Amino acid sequence: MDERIYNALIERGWLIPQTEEEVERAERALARVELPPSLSPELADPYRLIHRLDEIKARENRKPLTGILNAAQDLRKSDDELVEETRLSHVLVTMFDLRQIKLSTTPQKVIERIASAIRKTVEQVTEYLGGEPRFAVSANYKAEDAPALDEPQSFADAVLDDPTLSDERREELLAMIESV
Amino acid sequence: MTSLQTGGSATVSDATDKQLFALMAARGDDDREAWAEFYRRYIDDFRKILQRLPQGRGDELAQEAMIQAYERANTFRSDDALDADASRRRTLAWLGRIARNLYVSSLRGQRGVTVGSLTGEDGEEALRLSEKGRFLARGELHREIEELEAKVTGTTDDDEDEISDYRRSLQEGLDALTQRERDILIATYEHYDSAKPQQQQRLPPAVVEEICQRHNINADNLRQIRKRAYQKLARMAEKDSQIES
Repeated sequence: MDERIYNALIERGWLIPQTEEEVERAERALARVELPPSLSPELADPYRLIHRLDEIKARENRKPLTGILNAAQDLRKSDDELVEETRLSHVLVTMFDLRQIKLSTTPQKVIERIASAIRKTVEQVTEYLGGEPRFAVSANYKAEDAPALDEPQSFADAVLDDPTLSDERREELLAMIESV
Repeated sequence: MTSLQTGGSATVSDATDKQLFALMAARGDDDREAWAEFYRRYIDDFRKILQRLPQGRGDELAQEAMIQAYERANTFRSDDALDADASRRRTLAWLGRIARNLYVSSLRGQRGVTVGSLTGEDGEEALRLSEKGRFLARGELHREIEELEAKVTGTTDDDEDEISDYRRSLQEGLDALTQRERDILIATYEHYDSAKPQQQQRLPPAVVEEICQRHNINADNLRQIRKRAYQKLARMAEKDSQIES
């Protein structure tokens, strides 16, 4: 009887449908009743509400960044897309995400590219990169004391040590350092 | 019209829902236009589904859910295997989940019924919430449902006529409910999980407390009111079967 009452409430329109099947049930029931008044011009116009989207964006921009990879995932951006847009490598993107590259040695252009790729402000990204280094999420350990993280590397060292970078990209990144 | 960055479609109005969600989630130059197109596409069908909500806030809820859809665009998962109708229902169901969360949150912000309305309608005394009455015993809710179902059973799912008669009688029964009975029944079923078997349906204690606070009753009152609602529905079903015999 639970399910029958539940379905009756969906058909009555007293419960909001939550699945495709319930939507179908609700719409079939709607077809049997008198239709509600037609859509008012005010309700039909999305541009009366556009300012609310700006409020959402502003709120998102005020939130501290919790991770570069997280931010990319929120935008439904794949790791490959992130790497391409930042013109870095998977290794470097991950190192930035874990704050394992010293902010002071990172070219401004790299920070700008990261910010652009994840739709955040340069200030948000700078603040994030200046934080304490962290472990990867999957890291675990068995020792009684937590292992200490190594000191962050300089950007130059990270670029030189990354075996996955193409020569072309490595040169481009190193050139940015020299131009700072 | 703006050229899209994904999918290759020329304009936003030609974009699939999946493309619109991608544009909204990307928060790029096309996101507002993508959202406006999504809004135009769904607002009418969605607000019709919400029109008969008891609080009469269908239009407002539909708009709020649309705005939240922009904020949560990155959480929508499309299914390329679905045809156009099924895909549309999937989107409406996703919007429905957003709307229900908004609806339940808004009800939580409301104060419960006044003492006067409690005593006036049923002659019951308004009782203060007590520690004992605060939580229903586990399984008690569903024992009462089973008892009522025992009175009503006789219909089987094999008989299509009986199903539609039963459904009609349920709808007539819903018409016969008082405002409070309806509100409590709806509040109960807002937490119903159709994916779980009946034996696993449980109202969390916190939800029971919330419903009781909303209506300024204790758990015993809640059970009695809901039982009365079930009895009304059962009586309609019995009356229907008697007319036929």
